[in-house]
Amino acid sequence: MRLHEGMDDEPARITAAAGGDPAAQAWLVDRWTAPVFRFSRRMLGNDEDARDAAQDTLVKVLRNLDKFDTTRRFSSWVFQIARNTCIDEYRRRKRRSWEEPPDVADTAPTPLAEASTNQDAERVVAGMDRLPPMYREVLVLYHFEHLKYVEIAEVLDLPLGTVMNRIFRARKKLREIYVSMGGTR
Amino acid sequence: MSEPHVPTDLLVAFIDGEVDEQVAIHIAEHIDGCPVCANRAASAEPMTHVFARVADPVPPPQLAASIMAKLAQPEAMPELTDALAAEATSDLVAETPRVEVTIGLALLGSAALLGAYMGDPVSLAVDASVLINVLAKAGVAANGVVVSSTLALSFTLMAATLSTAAAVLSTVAAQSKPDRLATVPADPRI
Repeated sequence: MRLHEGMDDEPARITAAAGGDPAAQAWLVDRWTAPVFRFSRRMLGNDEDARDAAQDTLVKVLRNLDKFDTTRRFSSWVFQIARNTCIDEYRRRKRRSWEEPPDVADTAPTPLAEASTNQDAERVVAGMDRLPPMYREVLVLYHFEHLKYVEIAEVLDLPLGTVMNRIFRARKKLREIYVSMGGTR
Repeated sequence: MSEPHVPTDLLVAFIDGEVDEQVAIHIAEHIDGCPVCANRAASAEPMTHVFARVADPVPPPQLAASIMAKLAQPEAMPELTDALAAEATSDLVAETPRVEVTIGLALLGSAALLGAYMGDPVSLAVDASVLINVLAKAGVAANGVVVSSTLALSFTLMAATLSTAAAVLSTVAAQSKPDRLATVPADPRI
């Protein structure tokens, strides 16, 4: 299920879950486990860290529902918490900055890419892994989680124009890596 | 005069099909006649057809259940409190011997000074000031803590003052003793 599908009754579920309704809490967990896991997996690069990050994210979400500002989009709030959790995990693991400079992406082919030269999709996956997280996250949110520009701006707490410029640069960088790995233009 | 290049944010929105039709037509016409913007648009082409073929990571089947199980547990505040308490305790444990050692060293130094310079208050004052400086610097260098050096300085000053006073008193006493003895009448029997 994609992000904007089947969410008609989500506000009511959020209110009920914030009031302690176990069924509503279970519904929200079922609803958000997959998107949060997908995002975490793509940002952190392995299943184990993604599972821990997804669990931490949804526990934080459910335990802080009373602090959720209902004038905001719930999706933006959830992904913002997921992003912060991933940043903490990323820094703990790699001791590197999430907001890495744009010119540090490694364009050398990976073993994965070399082993699957006929698979454009795998080249994109490998290329995404080589992008600095600040670029990877905008592409993940836009292309895989199908958030709108304005939602991404809320998640990142950045002006809309900055987000769009970042998407532009991210695509450009990904294309360079993709082509360097033999991807078709 | 040529038209200015399409702003990046507008170009991205155009590429993603998220601008009004009239705006899209205008941008497309510009791109057709502007190699710079055509190149920019090509480099930012989203490769949607490739993204569409990328498989989604699938969460482990038990993940939702483990989240619900963790939610059923009490919140982790006690762990946080314990961690903070442990940190505070370790600070206290680390601080207490350091202060005690510093006080002990200051008192020992003062006692040594008093013993060594009994009867020579001028030398005592000069050497005490040297020792105070050394202790203060050693306190800062060894611990990097102001408290430690301040305590060393305070106790050394206090002890040195007491030592000086004691030395002065003992000198006065030593100087006045022969005079008093001199006033005692000689025992005619000796």
